[in-house]
Amino acid sequence: MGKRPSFLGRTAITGVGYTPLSRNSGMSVHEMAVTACRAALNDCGISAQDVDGVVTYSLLNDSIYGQAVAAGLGGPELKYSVDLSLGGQAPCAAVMMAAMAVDAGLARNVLVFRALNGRSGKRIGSTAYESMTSEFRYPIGFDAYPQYIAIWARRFMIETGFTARDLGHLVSIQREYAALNERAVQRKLLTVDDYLETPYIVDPFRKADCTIEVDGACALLVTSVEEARSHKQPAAVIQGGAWTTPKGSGLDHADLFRWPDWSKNCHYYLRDRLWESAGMSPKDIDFAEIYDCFSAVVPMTMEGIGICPVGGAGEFITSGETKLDGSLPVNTHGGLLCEGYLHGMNTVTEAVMQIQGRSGARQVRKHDRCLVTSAAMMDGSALVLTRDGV
Amino acid sequence: MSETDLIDLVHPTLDTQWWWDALSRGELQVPACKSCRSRFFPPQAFCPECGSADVYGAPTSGCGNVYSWVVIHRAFSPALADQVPYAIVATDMEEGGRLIGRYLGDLHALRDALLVRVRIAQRSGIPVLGFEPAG
Repeated sequence: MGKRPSFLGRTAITGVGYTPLSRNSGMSVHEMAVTACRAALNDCGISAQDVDGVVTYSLLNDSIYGQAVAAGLGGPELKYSVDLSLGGQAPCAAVMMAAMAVDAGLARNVLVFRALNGRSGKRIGSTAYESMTSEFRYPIGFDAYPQYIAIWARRFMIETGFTARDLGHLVSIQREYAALNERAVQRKLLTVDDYLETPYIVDPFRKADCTIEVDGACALLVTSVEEARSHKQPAAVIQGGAWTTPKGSGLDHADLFRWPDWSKNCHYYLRDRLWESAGMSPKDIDFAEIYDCFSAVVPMTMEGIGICPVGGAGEFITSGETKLDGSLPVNTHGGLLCEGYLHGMNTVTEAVMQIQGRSGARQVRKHDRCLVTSAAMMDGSALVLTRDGV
Repeated sequence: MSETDLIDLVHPTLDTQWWWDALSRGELQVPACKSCRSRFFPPQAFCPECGSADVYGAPTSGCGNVYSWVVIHRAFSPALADQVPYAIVATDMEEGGRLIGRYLGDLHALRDALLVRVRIAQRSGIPVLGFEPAG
């Protein structure tokens, strides 16, 4: 057993902030980033001059240099700044980097944000780009994220018996949550039968299995637990965290060629370290916010990270366990499938607000401990957050 | 983005040129490691299994079994709009190594472990790795 990373249990997330999510923001990415960060600062009740660190991530140059937020906030001096060239793997890892900086004494209040005009600007899911594997993907017509995840989903379904109808249940349940979330861009209920009648985009995925690209930004603030107690919002304590780039990860974000088992994603590989770091097991958590760029990532992650046994996610979901009144509510904002694709940063902010007990109509009853994940494929990260004092 | 633009993303590098050269001759070679004998894809300077630099292009029977597949009903590049529905297959080659290619067969025949063999097609002057049912 390894030594527990020192920042765990000693750092926390307090404020969160969002811009509206839309299909055409009419705002620059810089304006959105600063707007979301200001909202997060107002939420915790600290001033822009209290900020001394920024962590952000982007893909394909679709966002701003993170330090540009400091300029937009009127120039607090930053003592820590990180720009990650990563996608959905990043949000939990970015929070960990902020927390490590706080715990090491490099900074006191670190903003973590994601901002993008993901709909009106660069659309990551389908933008062609050059990378170390593009020369092998594009000529055969294997050219977009829905395809890369769908080819994993197929193998997951073969190996575990997870069915198209099970996917329908998952989507339908997330729509029920979205109906309770004023921020979600897709709030229409969808029955399983209606889901099954919609056409495929990339078989086994239909449109409702895919996230909705949006323009928007969201941000959160990381500080020490001690400092957090002087903020306006209760502390969501960072109790567990892990990152993995397992053997078989490839040359770039889309290099799935060498991944040995497409029925498992990175969460299978980080789970032991994650739970050990938190001093917990999957049965200890009250709810989970699971990165869902595409629907099948949810059961794959649930089985991989140990919430369900292999082959058990279908029954767990169809029996209602992940609903608001179930034993383990999952993706309470409707997920990225319904709220919109802020690249998983909004998966973390949803977890924070649930832990803080301020999610209104979709508030889970017991909100002491939760799991948050980032990533669908090879590399990724995850966190365990807890209510202060539990 | 036109088909020509997509092909413009094919820029073989010092690590991959040999693979393309072989494919252009109508020959599929599978990157392999002399040190640990593993086979892998894509071609790269070091064996991703053991880190050895002793990497070469190994011959293959061209036969393998489908490990997974997707059927694309909506093209993401307008250049491919007239080709849907089409399928992409991941094939576990009988000598080892997993390759991903265009499926060149009846879509209804696709199933787990389907026996396929390589067929090299052409698009806009570029050789395209394809697989067709071998039965």
